[in-house]
Amino acid sequence: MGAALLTCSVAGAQAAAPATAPALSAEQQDRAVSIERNLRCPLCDNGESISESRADISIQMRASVRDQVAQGRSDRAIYDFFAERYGNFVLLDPPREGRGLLLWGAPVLALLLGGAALARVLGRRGQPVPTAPVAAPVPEESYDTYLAQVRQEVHTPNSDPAADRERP
Amino acid sequence: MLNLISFGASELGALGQLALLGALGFSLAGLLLALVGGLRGDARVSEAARRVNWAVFALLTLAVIVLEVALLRDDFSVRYVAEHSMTTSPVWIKLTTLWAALEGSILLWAWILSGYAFILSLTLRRDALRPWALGTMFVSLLFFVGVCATVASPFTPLASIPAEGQGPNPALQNHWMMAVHPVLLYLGFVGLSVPYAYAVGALVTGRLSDHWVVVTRRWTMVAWAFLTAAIVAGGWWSYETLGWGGYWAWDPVENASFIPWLLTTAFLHSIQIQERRGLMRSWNVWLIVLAYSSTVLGTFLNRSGIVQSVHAFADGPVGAVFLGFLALLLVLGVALAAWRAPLLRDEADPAAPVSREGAFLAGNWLFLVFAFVVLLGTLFPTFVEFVQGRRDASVGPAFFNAFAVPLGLGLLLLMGVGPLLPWRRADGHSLVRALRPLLLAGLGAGLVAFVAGVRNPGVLLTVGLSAYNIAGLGLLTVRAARQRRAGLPTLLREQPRRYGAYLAHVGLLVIALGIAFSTTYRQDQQVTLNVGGAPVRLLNEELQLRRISREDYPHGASATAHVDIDGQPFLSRVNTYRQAPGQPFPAPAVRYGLWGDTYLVVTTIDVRGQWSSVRLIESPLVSWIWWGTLIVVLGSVLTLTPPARAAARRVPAGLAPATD
Repeated sequence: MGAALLTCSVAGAQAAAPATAPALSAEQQDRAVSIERNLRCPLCDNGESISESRADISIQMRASVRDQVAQGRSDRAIYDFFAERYGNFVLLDPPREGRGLLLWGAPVLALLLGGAALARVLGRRGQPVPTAPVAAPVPEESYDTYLAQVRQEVHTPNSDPAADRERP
Repeated sequence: MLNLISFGASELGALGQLALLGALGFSLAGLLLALVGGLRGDARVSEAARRVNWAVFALLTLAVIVLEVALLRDDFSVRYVAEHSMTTSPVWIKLTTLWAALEGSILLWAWILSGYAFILSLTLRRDALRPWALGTMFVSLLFFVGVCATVASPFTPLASIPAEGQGPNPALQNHWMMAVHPVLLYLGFVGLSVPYAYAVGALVTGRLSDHWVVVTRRWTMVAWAFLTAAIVAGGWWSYETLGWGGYWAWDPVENASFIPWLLTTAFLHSIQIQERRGLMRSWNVWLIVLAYSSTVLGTFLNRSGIVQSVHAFADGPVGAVFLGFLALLLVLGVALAAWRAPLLRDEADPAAPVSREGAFLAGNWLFLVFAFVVLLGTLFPTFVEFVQGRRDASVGPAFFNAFAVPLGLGLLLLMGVGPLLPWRRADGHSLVRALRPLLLAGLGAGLVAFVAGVRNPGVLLTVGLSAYNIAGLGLLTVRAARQRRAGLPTLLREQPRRYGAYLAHVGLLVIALGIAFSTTYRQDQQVTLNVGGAPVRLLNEELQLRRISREDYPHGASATAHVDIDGQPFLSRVNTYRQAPGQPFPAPAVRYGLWGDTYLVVTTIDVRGQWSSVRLIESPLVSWIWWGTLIVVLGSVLTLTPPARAAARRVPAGLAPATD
């Protein structure tokens, strides 16, 4: 049983290095690898890229990427080529356009909105505040004492919630 | 499935099911008692609720033991055992099969939850929060025990008993880490139920003093440390078993554990503002509601199969049930927080931008955006499928890294400033003065790295920021030691919380360096070797294939390539398991080194033992991730130790922090 499956994976790997692989310059090689990392193996369940996958289809796709890089096609053209054949599903680096804008734009928006909210919270400082002995350093207190204090407060029967809000 | 009546087929199954039903009954009773105790303010009823916890814990312990016994005895009349275990597995695999599949892992979750509830019931003080915190724990228990006892019961019997079980998922058999990682993860996930329970208790009683935050910090810290360890253990498992030389792939289920980590980290910092300054009260309630909900969301993503993933090996009604519980947690938290909003207003004056609070809040901002990015990237393909009716989008590492790297660097930047700043406010001039040595250290380290040949901007920044952080923590420590005229051991004893936090920060820096170098400078080449052939040069190493051997086990087979790398033997295996013939699982040979790992994985192996294709990976500083995690966990433990009686103190001058 084990033997059978090992043979099966052998067949796959032999195909990995086709004899007719085009010779790529170092630069083209790097480009091909980065494109392969951004293309998803269309038949694998676990989302691995064709650069990692050992499925036959990934091996063929790798060869195709190398071919197209050798022909001097742009990254964009190569991605489009595969998206046309296998659907946008294979694009692990979703294009920054159309619905992809939602994906790429939302974090930026979150960053901006969060930043604005933060600025507002910290900016309130500018307004005069009723309780405001500023710049007085908070006295250093050990964890124990503090805990004891809070515990004591909370323990106090019928304590007004408002009263224990401000620590002495 | 739902099968509560036919106990007959299996004695162990019947006993386990009875234990679960008993636990369910007690959980319900506990919830009712806690509610009555809380509403009437009757301490005796609350006390009863507290004790009911013990029964739940005992019964779930019994259920876990029963399932373990059934697994060890190969009692295939229990469906879970028949479907996920087999006679020929080694004993440790049988033991860990408890959490190898859905039903068992929910039972483990419920048991850990009841364990936390049990510890809580022992440590909970007799105050107004007590019944409500207990009641909230019972709500969680009711859910998990309920799922366990009904739709996902591990004890449902099988009508016809098979002679041999189907065995556990092979992916869970090929590394001992599977005995550790899930348990750590659940300890982390479930640990967050306690702070959530306290938050609900504080909201219900209106006792929104800072008491709940003080008590909660320890629980959160414990959960956080487990979660950190669990995430890294999962990464280590990937590294040692998946054969691609990496440890993190932004897989949806990895993400599902990372989101709670980010939110909990934010919470741990944010509650300090409340603890020290009485600010951010409602914010903290929101954060813990989000953090605990995100663990349930993570389980939902994991177990519903809604996102495609290597981990999503279970389908069924459980997903929908989890979604419902998630909604309940969120609604409960949000509704209570909204109701109590008037009480949640901060009374003290707000924070100044340049202050410890300011740094923590800015950190919160980045952590939250980070969590949002991870969630968005994880769910985006599902959204697209929902709208377009077919799977038509994938989100890969390119997206996650585009945001994770800058956000991570931003967090490192803040991490260095935070400990330097005093509470309330610092003046800009002294801040600049205090930052000067840090910036110089960072710049110097960056330059050294540049001269040493590092050109990647992200790595240079990581090196610079690490040095800047270390310089800051070092200076603060030295300054404190001088002021107190005390050595490091004394400082640690007097302020374990502060130095524990420093240590955790150092650990995170070590991890950050490990991640930056190992991902950027990983080298990877493949070659086919013949047995007895001449040595082949690959990545500056001499590779020679000595022989190929094959071992057969009752539970599978394994083929080993005996490769010498620079004269040292590497035994790289390919394992196959009986449950999944045709699916090879690589077991790479890794030589760990402080400065880099050599990693050899067999990609294919000749049946006749003549040749083998191997992949050699060399990545620098990977071990720093594992060591860094150990440091983080040690730091976390340190923050939990009670401080020794402090010697006479002096008021620190300048920008030395006034408090922990």
